[in-house]
Amino acid sequence: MEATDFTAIADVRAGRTEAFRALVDRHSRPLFRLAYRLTRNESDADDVVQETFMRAYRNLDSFDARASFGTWLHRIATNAALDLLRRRKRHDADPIEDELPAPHASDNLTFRDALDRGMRTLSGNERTAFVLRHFEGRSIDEISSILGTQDNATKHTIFRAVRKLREALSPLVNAC
Amino acid sequence: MLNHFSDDDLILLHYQLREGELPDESRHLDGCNECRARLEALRDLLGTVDDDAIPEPRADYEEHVWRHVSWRMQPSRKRLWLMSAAAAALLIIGFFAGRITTAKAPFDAGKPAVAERKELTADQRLAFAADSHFDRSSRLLLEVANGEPLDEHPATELVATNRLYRVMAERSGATDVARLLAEIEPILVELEHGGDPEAIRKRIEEQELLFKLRVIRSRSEAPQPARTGTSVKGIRS
Repeated sequence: MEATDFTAIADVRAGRTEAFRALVDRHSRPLFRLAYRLTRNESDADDVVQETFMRAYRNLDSFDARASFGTWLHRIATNAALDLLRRRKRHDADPIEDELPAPHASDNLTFRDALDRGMRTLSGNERTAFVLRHFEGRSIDEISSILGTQDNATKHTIFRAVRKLREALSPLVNAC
Repeated sequence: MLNHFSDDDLILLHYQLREGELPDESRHLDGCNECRARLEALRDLLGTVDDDAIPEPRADYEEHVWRHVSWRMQPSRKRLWLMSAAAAALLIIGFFAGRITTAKAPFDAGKPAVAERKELTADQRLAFAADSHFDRSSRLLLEVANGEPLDEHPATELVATNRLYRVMAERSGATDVARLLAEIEPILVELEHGGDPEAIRKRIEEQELLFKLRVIRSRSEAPQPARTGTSVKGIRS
């Protein structure tokens, strides 16, 4: 763990709550990037970042100081994003993204647009599993523990995510 | 002879999720052009995912997060106390404002004694107290409605102030004011997060927010005194 994180955590635990600001300053941006990848929405990502820090603050006593604070925060953020996506799914029974057709080369989409669209076609679990494996390099064990699934189910979630992305991107990749 | 790899096998190989590659599999990959080509294609495709564009948060993002988090970090009792104190202060302001505006209200000099002191409703008090906020919100929404260029984060303070007034309005029973604040809030949040101005403009029009703001602001103006023959102590000399 970074010395500055360690010092700040010790200060907060000792009651100097303003020391928490150092942790916010250090980790807000990386958390925002992860939260955006998971939610695909800036406002939601911002909410996830704030919720992450609140959960971290409330549970700081349970944090094992030998571990990486950043990794711990990322795990909290993933859970917060998953909570949000699941709540959203309950409220929006018919998400628009599920109906988006796969893009074609003739759609005149930029590759980034198509990629964004492809990522949005993934369900909450698929997107989380994919992001954690592809961008964060997490093990199947860790991803399973976050999703609350068996390892085999987690692998299948990743398979589905990759298939969907391939379906969304192949026409554009092949057209290049 | 090992069969060709399935798509799922290739994904496992790419992400190194197999629990130890078998020698047969490695040999197969070395000797099978088709599977090697499919694995390469998969790697190329997934490599492009790294181009996923992430919007860069605002320059003062850390400050923005800290402002919200530090507020929530305060013990709920302290937060409640702060909000109650603020609400009480506003209600006192509203009360005196009601007396002052009523006292200043014109009356018909030709008639005997005159103005009946009228208590302000909770909505009127809140509308009076939040008038400056409504004024600033109206001006911002008007700029959006007129398609004028906006600052990068035009609603940072308005969002926080709006939340505070909304909670106070809900607690003090100012239902009309609370309802309007609840309608404005998502618009302000979207503006703050750089939402699509055209979509926001449509919502402002559809929800008639500028009209509603004018109506609610008109409630904070001095009520007209009742012209009765009853004299009320302290209002007319």
